[in-house]
Order: sequence, then structure tokens, then C-alpha cells
Amino acid sequence: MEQKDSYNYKIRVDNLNLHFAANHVLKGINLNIPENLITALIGPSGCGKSTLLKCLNRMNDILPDVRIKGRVLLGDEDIYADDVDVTNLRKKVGMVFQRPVAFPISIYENVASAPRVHGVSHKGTLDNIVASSLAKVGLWDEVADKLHKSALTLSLGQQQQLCIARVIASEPEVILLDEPCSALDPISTMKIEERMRQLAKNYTVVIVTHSMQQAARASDYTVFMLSGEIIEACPTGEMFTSPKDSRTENYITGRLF
Amino acid sequence: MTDRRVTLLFAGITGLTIVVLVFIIGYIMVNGLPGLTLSFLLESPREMGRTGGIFPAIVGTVLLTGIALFIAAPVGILTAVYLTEYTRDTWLPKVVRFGTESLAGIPSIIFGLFGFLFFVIYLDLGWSVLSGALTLSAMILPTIVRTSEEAIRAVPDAYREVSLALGSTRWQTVTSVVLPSAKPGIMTGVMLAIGRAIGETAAVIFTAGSSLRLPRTLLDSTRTLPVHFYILAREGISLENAYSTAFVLILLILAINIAAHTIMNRLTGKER
Repeated sequence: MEQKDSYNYKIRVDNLNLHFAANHVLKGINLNIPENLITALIGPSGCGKSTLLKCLNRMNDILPDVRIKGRVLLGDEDIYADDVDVTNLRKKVGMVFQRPVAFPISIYENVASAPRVHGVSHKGTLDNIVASSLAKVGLWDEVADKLHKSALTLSLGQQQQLCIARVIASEPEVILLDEPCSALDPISTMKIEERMRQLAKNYTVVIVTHSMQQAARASDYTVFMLSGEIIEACPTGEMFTSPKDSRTENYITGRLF
Repeated sequence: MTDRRVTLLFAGITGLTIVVLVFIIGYIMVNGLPGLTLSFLLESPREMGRTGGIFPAIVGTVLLTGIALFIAAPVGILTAVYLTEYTRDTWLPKVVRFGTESLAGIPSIIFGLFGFLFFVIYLDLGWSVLSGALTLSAMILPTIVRTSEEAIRAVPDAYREVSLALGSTRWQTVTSVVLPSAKPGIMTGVMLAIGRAIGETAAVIFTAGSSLRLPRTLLDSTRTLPVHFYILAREGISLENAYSTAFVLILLILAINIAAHTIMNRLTGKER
């Protein structure tokens, strides 16, 4: 499938195939993901969009029985090459999960856990990272005076913001979000979407969502997947106004599934 | 109406449990309290314990339990980590679990016999603090492995996934996420183990002996509080002092429980 080349691409997926046990989950995926924009992966449940997302930071590696063929280039580096340091890759490509997972430790320690993993131990440096990361997700004002309280005292929406702050704290280049709002109320969802917009100035953002409205509202570029294949990938405006494939049109107008 | 009756029934049964508990502790307290003086705690026994205090037995108890824990806790917790985090889907955890469950159900006197034959005779450690502590550590190891394993298994997989996604290695995930989350459960297991070790009589008589002298080295024989009051009561030396000793043991266990809970709350609960 052809993509217009008016973008700078951060990630290039080249003929990626993924088998999970006997299932062929991703079938010959070719996709370019534009830099410093928000790319939404949409499609019905089980179409492989989350699996594709997890290929971008090799989180599928931890599952048994997974075979992956093809290349994924981050910049110029093939992240599936033999000599790739996976921990370093995951530092560069951070991930936020569907349900907010705040560790049962303090707010400060939650955010600091990311840079600590990568060897930062100087107290002043950590303080700065924690403060700036929380500020970037818009949580600083709410938690500044209770940094050492348990993260579990926060609301779900705040916990998801905290999770994003934790990812930002390891200074990634790409942020992957796997249905980050599906457990949240509409107001928290709106806050997260606003933040994504801010973050896209500095980071390449890829979001999996099953909410068409969210994709339409919050993304610049949309990828529609069906049964492990990419049907259409184009700027969000184009996809929602003049989809080229009839299956895309059926899905976004709610006639499919 | 039925609901009311069931509630009453349960309240009655609960009440009965409390009565039994209060009666036992009360009985020991009433009989043990008169003999409980500062000199009883701080002096050595005279005339086989008929008079004098129980200081060496207190030292022996703390030494034996402390050393046993010092050996069994790290070994047990690391074994549990290995079984849950590194070999989860293999046959090994199943075999070890079956083994630990069987071991946990074995009467302590069997451990005593083993300790006597292996540590005391074969390794020629004699009746000593070391033999006793090693035997106790073998006895409480299954409890620690089992409860730690349960606690670690109960840590949500999402925590591990997130930690790995942040770029942690497996070991970093264990130390920075899994163990802190499992800490309350692990502490409970360790408390159970302490309770089992501190009140042990049979395994200790066989391996640490029953010397009334204050142990100077780890190879000296010693006696623990339960052994002391067992001998006092069994040989009819002094029933009053047996009760006082029992009461001290109860207080010691109570103190350890409170200390452990305080530490645990400070480490985990305070911030919630």
C-alpha cells in the first residue's frame, strides 16, 4: 500500500508477520508512522492492532510461542536485529497500558522508577525529572504537595496520567498508548487527549483505540486494520471524510461489526 | 428471622473462641504473673530453675530463632522468587510445592531426629546453638517458601508487564516491583515461621540440648523458653516458674508480632 511522502517517518514497518501459536495474527504489515504526530490504530476487536503496537517495543517477546518475521525500523535501526538491547529500546519506545497500572508505592517513586531503572540515582536529578514529567502530563499542580503519598490514593484518571508521566520520565522518543482511556470517565479521557496533543510536539505518539470519535478527535494520522492486515492508512481528516476502501467506510460509519 | 438466628449462632461461636483464648492466656497470666519480676528476667537459674531467673533461656530462644530466621528467610524468599518468576510454567515449581507442602505437615520431632542424627552426630556439631538453629531453619523453610510463593504469585501480572515495558530487566522487576508489592504477604509468612520456631520444644531438645548456662559460642548447648518450662513442669521442679516462663514466652511472641506489624506498616501501609 502506498503512503504519501509528505511526512518525516519515525518508524517504518517492513513486511512484518507475526504468528502466535497456530494463528497468523499480523499478515505482511507495511506501515510508516510519522514523526511528532499522533497516529491512531483502529479496527474491530481481534484485528491485531494491539499486537502491532506491541511489536513496536518488542513487548510480544515476553509471550511464549510467538514468531515474528520482518523488520521494524526506528529511525535507521532495525529493532529486531540480533544486537539490539531490548531494555534500551523500551526506554526509547515507552508504553502506556489499557488499565492504569500505578505501583503501590508513592507517587514520586512511581515516576522515579523509570529513570532509576536506567541508572539515574542522583537525588537532585531525580527530583527534576519527576517534577518535569508530572508537569508535562498536567498532574504536577494536583500532586505537588503529596508526592510521597501512595499512588493508589489517586483517581483512575490521575493514575493513567501518572503512568504517562512515568513513561516520559525515561525520555522516550516514541510513546505507545494501548487503549489508554477505555477504563476512564469522559472528563479524564478529555484530559488525556489534551495531553497527547501537547506531547506530540516532542514525541511520536501511537495510540490504539476502539473509539472512532477518539481517533477522529485526537489523531493526525489513522490506520485501519482488519483481520491482521492494514486496509487503509492516511491522514485522519481524509479517512473520516473520504475513505478509499469500502470496508473502511463501513467500519467508520458503524455498518461493519 | 433465620438471618437473625444464624447471626446469633455465629456470634455465639465467635464468643466461644474468644472465651477459650482469654481463659488460656488469663490462666497463664494469673499463675505466671506473681513470679514475674525483673530479677526473674535478668538472673541465671539456680537449683535447676527452682529459684533464680531465666535469662539464659531468653538468650537461647532469641539466638536460636534469630539464626534460624537469618538462614531460612533469604533462602526461602529467593527460592520462591525463582519458582514464580523464573520457572513458572515448568514442572519444577510443582515438584517443589509438593515437597514443601509435605515437609510443612511433618511433626517437628521428625525434624528433631533428623537434626540430631545429621547436625549433632554426623557433622559433629554436638548439642549446640548451631545444631538447633540449623534444624529450626530446615523446619521453617517450607512455611517461608510456600507463603512467599503465594504472595509473589498474587502480584498482578500487569505490574511485571509495565515494569518490563519501562525497560527493566527481569531482576530489576523482581527487586523494584514484585518484592515490594509482595512484602506484606511475605512478612506474614515470616511471622508464622517465627511463631513456629520460637515455640518449638521437641526439635530443640534433640539438637540444642538443655544446658542452663549462658551460651558463649555457637557451639555451646543452650535451652529455649519452651524447653525450660517443659523441663520445669515435667520434672516437677517448679510449677510457679514454669507458668512465669510460659508467660514470658507469650509476651515475647506478642512483642515480636507488634514489632513486625509496626515495621510492616512503616514500610508499606503508612502512605495509604
